[in-house]
Amino acid sequence: MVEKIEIVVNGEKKVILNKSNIKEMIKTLGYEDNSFAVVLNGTFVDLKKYDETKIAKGDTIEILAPMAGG
Amino acid sequence: MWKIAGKELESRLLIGSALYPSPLQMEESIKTSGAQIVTVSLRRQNAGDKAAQSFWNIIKEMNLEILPNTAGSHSAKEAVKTAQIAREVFGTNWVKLEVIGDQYNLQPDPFETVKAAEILVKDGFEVFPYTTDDLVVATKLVDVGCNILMPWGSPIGSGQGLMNPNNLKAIRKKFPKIQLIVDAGIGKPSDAVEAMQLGYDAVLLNSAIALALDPVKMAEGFKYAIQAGRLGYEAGIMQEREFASPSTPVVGTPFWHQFD
Repeated sequence: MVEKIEIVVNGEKKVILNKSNIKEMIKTLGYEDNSFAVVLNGTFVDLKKYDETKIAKGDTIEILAPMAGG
Repeated sequence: MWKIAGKELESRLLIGSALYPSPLQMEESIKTSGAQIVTVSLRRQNAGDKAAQSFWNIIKEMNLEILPNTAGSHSAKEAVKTAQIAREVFGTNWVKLEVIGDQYNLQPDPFETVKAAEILVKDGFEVFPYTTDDLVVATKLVDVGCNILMPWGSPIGSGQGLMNPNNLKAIRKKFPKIQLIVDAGIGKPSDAVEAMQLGYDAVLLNSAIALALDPVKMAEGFKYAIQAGRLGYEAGIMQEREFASPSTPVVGTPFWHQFD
């Protein structure tokens, strides 16, 4: 059985499969494959690196999108 | 035409993308205003949130210069981090630096703003700092390398217009070569006229258009107000006089006036 790990996404605790990469995490969390930004432990992750970037237990992730602003 | 941050633009209006009654009204208002720079923000996205994607698609299709803001930041550290992420997401080194120091009137924190501006300028950003109309803070921002200053007219979203035109005038006088933009507090087209007549290079506004009963019509009003104010400034405004002075020539007044 694949181990599960706890991470924090946009301030909320989430559980994903261990050794998931960003692409898999996005899918697990129910995000569609569209334009948003992923910040892993405070560092922006380039879209091209979603496959190779693995998520570890306790990681803090922000999923951000362009929004209205003044 | 005028130039800011290396771009030649026609419009001297920078417009915000928030608070419109609908995405369609936002799109129509921005188009009608003729603005070529639009401000946007970065916010947490929830899974399945289609509104964010649709917002971004509308903005992208208008092909405008994007000015990401750091709204929501309360320290230099937060603002710098937001700016760095925005640079990656939006592919621009432009940033509207906004560090709030007071929750009640949303007054910018001058100390943290200057600190963040210094870091961002060194990191290659074109910083558009939102600041108060304080001349000393303006000077500090220029000292750390800002080529643009965005003093407020009055608090964000208040619509109170230019609270202190004398302070804005002093900034214009001290920094003739810095691009000056009045940001925040504009409520009606005449406020924009006043800002432009002071010799400011542009105006940034959002609520005044988005919260009008008819945002699209107000966008058109501001478009012309900014043009009128600029033309007035360029034309050179007459000196005020203490007494009346007839505008119609006195010489040649018909004879019957002499018997009154």
